[in-house]
Amino acid sequence: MKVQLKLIASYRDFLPPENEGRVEIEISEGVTAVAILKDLGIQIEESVILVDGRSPNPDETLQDGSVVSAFQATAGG
Amino acid sequence: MNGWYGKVLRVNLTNQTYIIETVDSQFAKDYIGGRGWAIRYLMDGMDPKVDALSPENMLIFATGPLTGSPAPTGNRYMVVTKSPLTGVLSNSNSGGDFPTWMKRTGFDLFIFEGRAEEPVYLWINDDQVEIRPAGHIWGKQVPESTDIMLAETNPKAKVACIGPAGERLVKVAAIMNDKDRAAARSGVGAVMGSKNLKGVVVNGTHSIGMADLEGMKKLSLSMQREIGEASKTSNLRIYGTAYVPDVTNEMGIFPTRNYQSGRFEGADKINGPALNASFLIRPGACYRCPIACNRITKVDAPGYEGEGEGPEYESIGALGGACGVDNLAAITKANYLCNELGIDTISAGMTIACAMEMYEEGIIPESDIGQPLNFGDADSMITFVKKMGLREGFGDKLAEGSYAMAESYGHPEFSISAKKLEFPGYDPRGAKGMGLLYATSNVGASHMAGDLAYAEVFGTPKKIDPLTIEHKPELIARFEDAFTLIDSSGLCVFLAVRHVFDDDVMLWPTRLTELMNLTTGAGYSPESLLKAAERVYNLERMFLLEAGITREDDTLPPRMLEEPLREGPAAGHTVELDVMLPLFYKVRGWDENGVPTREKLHELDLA
Repeated sequence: MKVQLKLIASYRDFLPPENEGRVEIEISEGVTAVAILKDLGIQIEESVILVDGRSPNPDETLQDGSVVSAFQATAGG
Repeated sequence: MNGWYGKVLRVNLTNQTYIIETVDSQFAKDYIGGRGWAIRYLMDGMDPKVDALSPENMLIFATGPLTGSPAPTGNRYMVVTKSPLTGVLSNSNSGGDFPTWMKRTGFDLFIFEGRAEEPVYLWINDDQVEIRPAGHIWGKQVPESTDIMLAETNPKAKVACIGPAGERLVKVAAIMNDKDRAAARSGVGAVMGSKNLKGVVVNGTHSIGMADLEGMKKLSLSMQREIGEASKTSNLRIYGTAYVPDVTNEMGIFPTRNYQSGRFEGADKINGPALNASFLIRPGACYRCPIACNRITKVDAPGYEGEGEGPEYESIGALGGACGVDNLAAITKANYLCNELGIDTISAGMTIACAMEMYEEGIIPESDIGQPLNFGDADSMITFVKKMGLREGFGDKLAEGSYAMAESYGHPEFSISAKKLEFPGYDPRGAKGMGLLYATSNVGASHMAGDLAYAEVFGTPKKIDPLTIEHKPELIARFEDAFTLIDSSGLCVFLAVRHVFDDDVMLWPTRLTELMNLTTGAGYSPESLLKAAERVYNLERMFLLEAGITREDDTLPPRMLEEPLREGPAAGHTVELDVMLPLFYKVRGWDENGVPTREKLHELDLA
């Protein structure tokens, strides 16, 4: 199945610049958002992770068409 | 006394006289400083029922004990007064350089009372206080006004002033300092204009005593280094607050077309990366700040030429998404105009957004506006920022703020505001704690009154579910008290939330207590410091009640309570304020009408 990755702000740097933080990836059943982001080298404890704009449950597996986004957990505006 | 000077400058603009008052150490400690001292002076010195633009209103500039201290970001000041926009309190906060320079004058607070017969500005230079004519500066924009006042006093001094908007009593006018920084919200600029006070220029050689200078230097230096290092790779340094549209849009809470939606199709064009690719020259910093979130920018795009600071997230939300505008050059230009005229970007954008919706609904006739005013029309958004600042044409109606403007057409429900202060950029239907905050804060809808978005949106100290209402009353009450502490101490929120509270969502002020004690020697505990914050918050609530606020005013627009979001992760949600509010009153120790009980007031030494 396919999921969309949206890496926000500084996390864009985990993908090539021309991606502008976006990529569509092919995954198998049972893959979690955390697993995908860890594979890219993202520090999970320092991140906010959203699946379809909401905080996922820890063991929540992704669906076809899910949008996974992640960004630094710092401050706002 | 250490940390505080214990000296207040009270200027009577009517008589053109001033006195210097002293403050005893118990008062200083009980009310912390900054915002805390200011509300005590307001309650003791004015009737909360007076017209905010009358000479009887008091305008207070307040530094905290950490302003001008070695603490990193110890460089904020508060503007506290009764708001002409809302009729409740103003607690507007700003950074830049002015706050530290104000502390060097040797005063903790400035109080401005009465009204000068002719425009004046104040030159406060150590113990020398001069009231100078400002007729030749009246009418000029903020940058030029600043330069003139500096040339007439001392180029090394710093200036806080109003632009044409404050002079014309525009109800959403700001007080600008160092040209680009703003004590923006609640129309504080109009209060200054109503006193014929064009500017305040400060310089000096005083510094506050430190109870434990070595200890303070050691802790401050280690914080400065740690935060400076971490900031190199932080979103705030790299993108400024402009990184936020991607976050809030993903969560479906980005202000879109007067809050008709939380998802804006143009968010990609007006985010941090877009700003960096187009107009960013470099990051900038307030005095000695290790974070450096300011944006020094320049626009060359024809029709939008300008330079200055910004835009910030809130400006992008209000002048951009809320107006349906996805043109970053136009948003940046509008932001520069707000700085030059001296207007709050949030209220400006949200008031224009309100007019756009009412125009599209056929409620405001085109003949009133003088032209079409549709969502997405970037050039019209700019036109009406200018007209609002100068009270020209339809701008005269916009200058009253969205609530008064909408009410004049019989439809106040289109004003997306609480207590008539326009919403900041977090749709509370998708961040319910923020909904409770907007409804209960003592200034109206301000995220800075207790920004639970830190946890609901940004995962700091940890991520909490924005769509649930459980525990939000306790969290909002604690965040309100924590932000009261920050505003009273003189630190910047961007450092304070992460670095002077424990790493827990109930924000326990361990390190803030240490900083306060190293500075003042006052012997606070975290409990007594939080109690002092609660005292300040409750006294502010008493001000609101005496000004005429009732439980009915602790509310949100019908759109937030009755119209669910239609798309995005928060689709189907409204704000369940009817459930949260009574619980909030209980947490606060107030009765069912939102009035602090005798027991609560007694506990806080307020009765």
